[in-house]
Amino acid sequence: MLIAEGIVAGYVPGLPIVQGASLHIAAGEVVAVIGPNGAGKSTFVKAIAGLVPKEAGRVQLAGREIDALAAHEIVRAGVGFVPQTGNVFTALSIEENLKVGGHLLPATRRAEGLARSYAQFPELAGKRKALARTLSGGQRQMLAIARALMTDPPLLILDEPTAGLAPRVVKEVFRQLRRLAQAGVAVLMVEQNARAALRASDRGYVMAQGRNCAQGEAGELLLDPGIGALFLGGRSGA
Amino acid sequence: MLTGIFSYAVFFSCVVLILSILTLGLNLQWGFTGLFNAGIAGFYAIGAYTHAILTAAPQPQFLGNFGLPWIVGIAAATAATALAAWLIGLLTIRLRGDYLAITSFGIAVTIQLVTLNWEALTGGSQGLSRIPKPLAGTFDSPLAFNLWYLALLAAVVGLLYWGLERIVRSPWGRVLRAIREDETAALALGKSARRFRLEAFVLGAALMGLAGALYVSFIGFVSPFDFLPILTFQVWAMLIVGGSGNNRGALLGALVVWGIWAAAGALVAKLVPPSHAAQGAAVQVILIGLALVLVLLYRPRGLIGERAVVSRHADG
Amino acid sequence: MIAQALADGLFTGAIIALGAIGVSYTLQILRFANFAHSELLTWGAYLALVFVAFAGPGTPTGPLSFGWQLVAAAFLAALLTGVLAWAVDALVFSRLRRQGAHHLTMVFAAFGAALVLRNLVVLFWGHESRYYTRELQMAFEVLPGVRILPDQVFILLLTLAVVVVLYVFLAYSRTGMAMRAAAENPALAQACGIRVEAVVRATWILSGALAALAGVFTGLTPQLHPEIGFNLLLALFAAAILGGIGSLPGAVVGGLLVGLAENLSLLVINPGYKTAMPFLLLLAVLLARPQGIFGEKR
Repeated sequence: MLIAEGIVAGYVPGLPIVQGASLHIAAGEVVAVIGPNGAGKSTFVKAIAGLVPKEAGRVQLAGREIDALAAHEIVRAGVGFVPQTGNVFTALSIEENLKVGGHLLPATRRAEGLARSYAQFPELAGKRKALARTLSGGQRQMLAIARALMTDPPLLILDEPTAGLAPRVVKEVFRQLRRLAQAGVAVLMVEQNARAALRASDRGYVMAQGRNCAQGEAGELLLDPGIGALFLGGRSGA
Repeated sequence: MLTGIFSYAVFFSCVVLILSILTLGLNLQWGFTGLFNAGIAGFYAIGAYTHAILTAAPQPQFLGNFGLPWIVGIAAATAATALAAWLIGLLTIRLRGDYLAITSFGIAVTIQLVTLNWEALTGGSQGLSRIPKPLAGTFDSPLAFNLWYLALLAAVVGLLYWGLERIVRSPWGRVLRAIREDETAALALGKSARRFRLEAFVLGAALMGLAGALYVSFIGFVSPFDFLPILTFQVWAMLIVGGSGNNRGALLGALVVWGIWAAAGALVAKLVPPSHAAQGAAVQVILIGLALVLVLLYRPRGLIGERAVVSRHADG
Repeated sequence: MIAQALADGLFTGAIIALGAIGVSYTLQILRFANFAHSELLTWGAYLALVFVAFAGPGTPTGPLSFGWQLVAAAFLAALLTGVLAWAVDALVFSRLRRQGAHHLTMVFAAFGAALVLRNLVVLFWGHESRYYTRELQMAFEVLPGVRILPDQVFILLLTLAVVVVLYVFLAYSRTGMAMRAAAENPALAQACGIRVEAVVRATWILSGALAALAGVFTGLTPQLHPEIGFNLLLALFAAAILGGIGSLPGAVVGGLLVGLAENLSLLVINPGYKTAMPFLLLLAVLLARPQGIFGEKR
């Protein structure tokens, strides 16, 4: 579904944070990108989504080159992006948030998208008119994901979706993401919560200092003692 | 004819030196600390009126006019402006950039309103006159006095420049630059960052007050119309044209901008018949406004950019 | 006395509200204090004057001092001022944005642009006061001790209509929702496929048009001169910040409160200080509740 190769990117031209990173993800897969703080994980996926300028590298989505496209065109091409912070419009209601998520869609498809969102996230259906700023952390995250899914994108990118959430909510978020993958969406997430993320994923990439450091099946990464020591907090495996 | 030109040149130089003190003060506030002061005219006015009220010859209709010596006026003006800046700074220093701009602008407007309305103290729209010029009695002609004053101003500006250059290289100055360059350093310093900024703000304002006092003791009278918002804009232009963050640039900018302003004024006066004087003045302002916007668009570092690394307010 | 001050405050407040809406949105979406906004008011007023010079203000309709021609002139001026606002952005501010200019550079460029715009008015029309119409109006007593002009009532009603239309547009239309979203969070709006630059342009045009209407209304009550915009600058900022930037109800409520404060203060202080009142209000808001009435703590 998505191939990103040799991405060099950063906010300031000439000072790249991502210094040649690559990944690929297929439809229906859940892939986690983990690594220490400052490794460039967020910048990497933002560059893929067109939100951070790229200095070099290729990005291919379903066979189509998208690295030269602007952010709003990448959305059009089929990428949904959920930022870590500022991921809902707090002054707008739940329904308005979803509608804005479907900004690019004609009226009928937007209505379908709304119905789909309420079906997948029943908690939101009961509070359509509530302002997003009144929602709890977990509800906001659900809204943020639902908003990105309005355009029915084949690829969903999430930047630290479980940051700051209670363990019960974290479980729920990963459950929703697995459900999406089962329905055929490619789910790519950056996560600080490395162990939990890997347990919910099919494969993982480990990044350090702006580059790929390790990759493989999620289960193998979890058992690898080296990775365990560095990134999973000591004990590997369970 | 030649004495006329020479005489004008002396007068012009005096004005440029006074304006350069304003610019040096602004450089301390903006160039080294990143504080956007849109109320320069207000601080200038506080210094000017304090000096005027303390030193002008007593007259029955005025509350003030104490006829005190020149040096007392100068010192008091600087101190009063510093105090006002300290109070204003306490209230506003933590505001984000453009809110500080709006607030400082509002303060300057309010100060001007006070000078217009509190007639018993400030003389209202008529202003105050009979402000003694230092050592005026010693000199026969206006030209002689102006030459003496020019020497005085040159000495003051030289002293200030030397002092400011030393301050900038001092530990205090280095902290200021760190705060300006790196917002996160500022956040890490927390409350002390605010204290440093406040100190720089007050010191810069004190310079502006000093300039005000020197101005009125040069001219001999003061009125609210010397402190219009356009003055704030002109001083900003001087700093930007000369290159902000740079004391030498401040001096050069004052010379260049005031030179252009005076030249534009003279040109307009020559070309435009007196009946259209107002329109002529408008053209003068339009030219300077355009020039400034063009400098911002095409040469944001000004004429002498600071040879420093990317600054937080590098506009390009 | 108080009742009259309240009535006057209401009418002034409506005009300030119209001008403040544009300031509010530009402050939020572009994050810089546009000191040139007040000159859009002035230009709007004078552009309408040009139309009136051709077609005349119209024979007074009913108790008003003008006919439909002035209203038409006002809307034409609004259109042109919208274009002017867009042009100023295209020539100056968007270029600075593309250069990655610090937002204070933009404030400063706005000062410069304001000076140029204001003095162009002086250049073309001179300093003297001008009038849309020389018709005298009879004030009528609506309550004991409260006298108002029919023109004022018209202005209030028209302002109300404009605000309602704007509210409906922003709340229910797709473009309106996109504008509100982009105003709050441009990055997220981009992730929804919204073209933020297009929203910015639309915001400028709308701001210019609203400012023009405010300018015409100011010029109507009772005269035009090159400083009418500048005199309202602090009031516009105060209203926008008081109400909470990026909020239409905020700008309206803020405008009304500023208008009321200005006129009520006349009862106790020297009228010479009237223009300082909005500023004091602004200072109080920034110290006590910087996010304004409808704003959210950031």
